[in-house]
Amino acid sequence: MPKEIVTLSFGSYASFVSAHYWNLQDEAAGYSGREGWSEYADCVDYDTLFSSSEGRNGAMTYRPRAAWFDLAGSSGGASHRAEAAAAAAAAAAAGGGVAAVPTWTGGVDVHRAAPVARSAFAATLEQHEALDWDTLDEAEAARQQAVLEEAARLLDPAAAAAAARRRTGGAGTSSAAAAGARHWTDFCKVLVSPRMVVSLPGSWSGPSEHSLAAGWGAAAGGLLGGGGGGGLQMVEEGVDVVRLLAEACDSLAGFQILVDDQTGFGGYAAAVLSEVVEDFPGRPRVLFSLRQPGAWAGAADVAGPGLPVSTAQMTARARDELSEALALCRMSELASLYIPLAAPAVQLSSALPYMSSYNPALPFHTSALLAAAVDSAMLPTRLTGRRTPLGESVGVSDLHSLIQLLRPAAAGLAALHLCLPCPSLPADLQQLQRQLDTRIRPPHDSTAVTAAAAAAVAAEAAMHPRGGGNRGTAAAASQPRLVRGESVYGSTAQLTGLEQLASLTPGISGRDDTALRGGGASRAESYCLRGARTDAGPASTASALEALDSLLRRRAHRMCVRHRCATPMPLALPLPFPDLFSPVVSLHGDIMLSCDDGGGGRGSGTKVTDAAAGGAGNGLPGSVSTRAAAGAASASAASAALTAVPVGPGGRAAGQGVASVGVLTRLQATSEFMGWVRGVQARWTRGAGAAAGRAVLDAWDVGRDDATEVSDRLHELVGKFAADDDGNHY
Amino acid sequence: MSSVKTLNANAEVMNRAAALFMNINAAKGLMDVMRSNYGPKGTIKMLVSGAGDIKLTKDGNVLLREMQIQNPTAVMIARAAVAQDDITGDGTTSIVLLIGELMKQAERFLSEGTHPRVLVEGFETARKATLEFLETFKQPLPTPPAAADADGTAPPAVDRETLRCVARTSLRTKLAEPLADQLTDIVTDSVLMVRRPNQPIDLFMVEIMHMRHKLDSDTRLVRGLVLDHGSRHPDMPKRLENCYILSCNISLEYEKSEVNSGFFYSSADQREKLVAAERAYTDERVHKIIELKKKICTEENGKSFVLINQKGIDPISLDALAKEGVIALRRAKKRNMERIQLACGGFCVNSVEELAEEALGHADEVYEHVLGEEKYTFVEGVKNPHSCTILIKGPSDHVIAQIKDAVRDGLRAVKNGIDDGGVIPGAGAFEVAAAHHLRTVTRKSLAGRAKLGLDAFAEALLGLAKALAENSGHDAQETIIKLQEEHERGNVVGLDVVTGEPMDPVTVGVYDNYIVKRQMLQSAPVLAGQLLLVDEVMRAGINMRKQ
Repeated sequence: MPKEIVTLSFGSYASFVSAHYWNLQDEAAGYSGREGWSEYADCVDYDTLFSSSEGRNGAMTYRPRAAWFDLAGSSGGASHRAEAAAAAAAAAAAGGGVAAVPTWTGGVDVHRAAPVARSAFAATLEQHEALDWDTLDEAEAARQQAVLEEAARLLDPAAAAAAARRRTGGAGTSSAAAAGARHWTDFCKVLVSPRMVVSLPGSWSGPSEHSLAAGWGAAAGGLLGGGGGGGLQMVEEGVDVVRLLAEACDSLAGFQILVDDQTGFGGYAAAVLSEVVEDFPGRPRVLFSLRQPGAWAGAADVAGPGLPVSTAQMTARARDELSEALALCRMSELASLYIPLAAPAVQLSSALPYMSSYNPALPFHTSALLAAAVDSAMLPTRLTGRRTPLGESVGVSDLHSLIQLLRPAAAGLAALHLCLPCPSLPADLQQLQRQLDTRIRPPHDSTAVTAAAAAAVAAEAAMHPRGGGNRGTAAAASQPRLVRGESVYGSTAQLTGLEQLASLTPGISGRDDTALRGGGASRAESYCLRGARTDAGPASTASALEALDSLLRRRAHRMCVRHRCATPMPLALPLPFPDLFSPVVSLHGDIMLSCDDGGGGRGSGTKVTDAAAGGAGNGLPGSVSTRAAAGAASASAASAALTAVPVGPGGRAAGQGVASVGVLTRLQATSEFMGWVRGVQARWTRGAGAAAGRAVLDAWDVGRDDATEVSDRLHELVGKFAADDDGNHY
Repeated sequence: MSSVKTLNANAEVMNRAAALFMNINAAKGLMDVMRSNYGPKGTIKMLVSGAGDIKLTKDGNVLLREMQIQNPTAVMIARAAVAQDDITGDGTTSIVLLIGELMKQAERFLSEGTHPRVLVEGFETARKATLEFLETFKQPLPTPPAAADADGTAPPAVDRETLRCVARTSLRTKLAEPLADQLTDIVTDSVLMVRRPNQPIDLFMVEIMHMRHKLDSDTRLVRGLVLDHGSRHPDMPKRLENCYILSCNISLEYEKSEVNSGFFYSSADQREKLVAAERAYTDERVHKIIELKKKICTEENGKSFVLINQKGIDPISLDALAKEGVIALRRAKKRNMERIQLACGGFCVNSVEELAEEALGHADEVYEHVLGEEKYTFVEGVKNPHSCTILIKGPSDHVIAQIKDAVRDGLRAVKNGIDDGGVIPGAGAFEVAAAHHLRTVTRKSLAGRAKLGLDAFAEALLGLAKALAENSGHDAQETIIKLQEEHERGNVVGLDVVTGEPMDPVTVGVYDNYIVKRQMLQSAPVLAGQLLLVDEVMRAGINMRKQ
């Protein structure tokens, strides 16, 4: 059975996402050795992503099956060379006037770049490698752990600045600490094989400011042999790295690829991938096209009508528009599934109501969010069918099948939607009873919540004979029962509808109501619900799936192929994952609605949900507006909690991070893409027709014939949707 | 005031004096950076990155790439150097020096009021004359007597000794002497090995492999191949002798998972059958290979079998092959498949139907070498090596990288020598002779102000010899005078970098490539001329670089 998946990341932002992604993998793999967790962690197959090899002394080393393609300088202070210490010594000796070069007898000129400091986190991590944890006593181990946690906190620019302010009273913050993570190596905690980091020539000053930032064709000269000199060599090296990774796979399932394809990395990645496609026929390639958070506004005009626009602005816009079209055309040909991704550009949007610290300006934050989404969306391809106390994973799939499901529906385009943390699922009585079964006590169960649930169950039992719950039994459908569940047990925010999924694909909302307006309809979907929770704690996969199904039944548009996957393992958050969550999110990802502390009353929170649930119950079933109101209400409750209470009601101390959260993702192939591709097409036609655009294309070595080809390809893409619309009126 | 200004207020304009000044300074600046590298006694540059990684280089092209040049004039010069490297593989430092020297000499005349156009005319005449002189200065490769058994299948014989000298001259400018001398034979032999009759030399057939292991002096030439991966089965033999080599491009893995996607079967039983059928298809191919192995590898002939596949081999297939004592490698590099055919014989098999003994190659031994986490497979003792591997060893990555660069240049130098069919005496001999020729012969045929340009050109050529002397620690003027005197006595003289005295490059065996000199002489004066004729620099309109 094919299983191994090779991950490739092209670009500086992609490196950030990839580093976060691998941190998440590493953390999850680490859970398999943890008491209580191992059963849950084992439902993920780690060999899919990690290769293991036995070292000389018999110790196993795990290396990610991944390659990073980035500019020289982007890995900052971390040296991927194995003998970094020796090299540093040699450099120091040479600097001291001693010729330390064995291969040259003449003089040595030393040109030294200003040393780039490694992050405290990376340095501490390396020190910890050397520690022998078995011999440390508990206090020492705890102290070391605290040091690491402190270092990890410094990675987050926002948190670091706050910490520095606290410590120094607002003045004299050291700039290095406040800068947070600048390079992906600052926070990547997996061991990366030096051969798997390919440095491309160029200059780098930030994940979105580098010599290849100027659009798709920025690599045309230096990297692709246009200007001669080592160009094709880089492509060949890239292909060779992919071959080496594939050689280590017994049965390669396919590739997942993260690309900054709106930059010069796109051109380079296309060159490498076209070779890969040839060398590995029949291996699916899922491509995540990463864009800056600002890409949401891409469609809108930068300057209003009538305002003077400078040449530079015009060029920049032409460049963006042309890059978008070129990337779409080339990449959608090379990839089996093309998924455009951008983190939301608005802070505390309705899309991410429980992420109060999320800052769209920080690549460290946005990339973490995308990594979590990519990880969860691709999870069904990495699951084992192993049983856990919460049931086995349902909907286990493989990469090939997943792509077969999504690819035909929307010309190989798909959107990704995310709900992080996933609010509690509505739970029925039976489920709650089962939760109280002391034999099942998952490690991410919080006892406080269980106690509360117990009380609630008791209350419900007392109410029951008096006929309060008759409506639920009479209706016998899931919906009223859900409503009752909410109204009685709602100490946490509830997943009331799939509208709560935030869109990570710019321009594809994924909402049902757009279907009503003729915007588009979902044609194929893949849901992944991991670590689902109810009020009472972790839910079994069977009931999670049932709850998900009942939500799906409420969708207005039903004619689409669906794949659902539920797994008990939540998203385990590693230390370097930024603490984006608002204080209402508990240690294990419950969203507490109560503003009071821990075990006490569920006063205001209950009131909010009562009102909302009442609305839902009285109004039309599944009415969008009421549910939206409920969402807004809980969001406002959340933000109220945020401003009022320094220690969150989630029961977390101020410094304590969230350990694990439930996540719901949706990969969606929808006909909304038709409008999306049309937009790209319109912008391409406008851009390529204008003089500025033509000049840009010339500089990128895109001739008139190539431009016509792009137009044809876009036309063909749109055509695919149109043909489907005519043919398949279900 | 430039008219551009009236159209675009943001335009930046430089007038003629400023433009010339900028061009000359950029060229001289670039020259100053590279000058100390020049020649076998130049300094090596050690570039230390922010992370403490080291890069050692003397290669002008590598330096230019690392410097991330922004100045537009310097970018133009760097492009010329890149073109030089593309076409000839060497001489990138020389070309930057020559352009710099030309600009420097021109500056002297310009400051005395000469018009750039006059100088450029002189450059042009001088360039043509020098190129003509280069033809006469070229020494054809001595042709050794054809071997008695020459039957037309072997490439024509060439003089190995002269080629060794070319390789040594190139390598000694990049590496310390003992190492350079050791590599000289390796480089020369490998190029001679991959030569085939009536075909251009394909240097890709010389694989350059590296291992971070032992010392740089352990670098060696492997007559055969080194692959950077090993077998993936614990029971496979680690070493085989007297081997048949099968190179193929046949997938030996069960790859399709369509049967899993649910549309093709209605019961679990049916699914099992489909899976088994798919599996049987793969097994069938493996059995065909094993059959062939059993047929041709008998107890009597003591042969063994090695399979090198461009596609994948899954664990079940590996297991079947391991049971038969076959070494099987999967996912070989595409280019290595070509190399295997050239080294071992046989041809690459694309389907099991083509399997036959004729398709197989031969090697005396195949063995695996494990180095830390990495595995290498050596295929050695091949019949008729038309492909070989230079295995570079070194204690650290930067040393390996430096040797690798030097070996590449060395290979190019030998190839150029064969392609040109001749060499140029080195050690500054050509520059001194050409300058003398320009001043004595060409100058007479020229009338008027063009002589100024000619003088500048001759002086610039001498600048290269001066840089050589300076870098070796000798007084530049004195050395040049000595060389010129010796030359006037009618000898071909080069500079002995050790003593600073004139010497005969032919007897010492210092040879340069003809094509390197020719390319340099063709492009450097043209570019210098263009830079001199610039009379206005504008920056307006689209600025491609995102600032």
